[in-house]
Amino acid sequence: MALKPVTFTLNGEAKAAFTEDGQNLLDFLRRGVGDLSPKYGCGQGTCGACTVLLDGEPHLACLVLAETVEGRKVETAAGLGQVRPHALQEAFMERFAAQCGYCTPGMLMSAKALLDRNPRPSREDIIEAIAGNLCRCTGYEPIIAAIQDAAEGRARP
Amino acid sequence: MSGTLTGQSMIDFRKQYFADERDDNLNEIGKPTRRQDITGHVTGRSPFYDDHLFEGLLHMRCARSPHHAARIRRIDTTAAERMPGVVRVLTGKDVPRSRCSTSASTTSRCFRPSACATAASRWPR
Repeated sequence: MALKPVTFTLNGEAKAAFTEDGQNLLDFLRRGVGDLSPKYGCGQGTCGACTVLLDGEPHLACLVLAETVEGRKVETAAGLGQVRPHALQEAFMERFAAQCGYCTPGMLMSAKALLDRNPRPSREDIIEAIAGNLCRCTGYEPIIAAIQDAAEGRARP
Repeated sequence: MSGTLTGQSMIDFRKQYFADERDDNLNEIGKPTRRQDITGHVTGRSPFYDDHLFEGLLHMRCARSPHHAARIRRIDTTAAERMPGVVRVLTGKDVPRSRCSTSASTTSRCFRPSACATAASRWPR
């Protein structure tokens, strides 16, 4: 099995690791780099639990080849709020926007991508942004409310 | 809530009885409160079943019959065994008396795996 070196930025930190042939980004981040915050849900791009940001855009890590992140910026939920909680994290905590918590890292990354490009999203914008993220605890309403709160600065910074 | 058997209030009784637990002065009632595990959830640090990675961890995939109630004549595992990283392929022959693991009978059931492969990688290639 051929190994290929990949250098990239993970949550603002320079990283270098080896990828296996055809390894996907999710497996690479979890096993190769040790960032367990992207979750393995379906492995086929259906559930959104593995959503990460590549240069600020949301991508499903299970469908991205690990070697394609060479030189790019990768952001995961583990990098959110390293100094103080991100507004989204505060809002998710205040609004009870997680039950089992498995979809939460993916939800946060989709929501962050939305707020970064549109700081004043409508309810429809929010629903569209998290349309690719499944929550099986039926918690969509608190999640939508939390994203709205974070956008409007209602959550404590 | 006052006036109990021992003459102390119920709150005092609870405080004494649960003295080794957290201070319970009942001021959470009627107020929204945060889940205790929510910080881990929003930072991606909550450990789920899949997050317990350790040395020597093997992944297993089950192959199920695409046809219900079909007769299994044979199962060819050579291609699966040749895949890099595959440690062991199990079929009904390996567990002859088990009814709930791999199917040893000659009739396939869609819900019962016909063969399993364990490998060092989740996505063996």
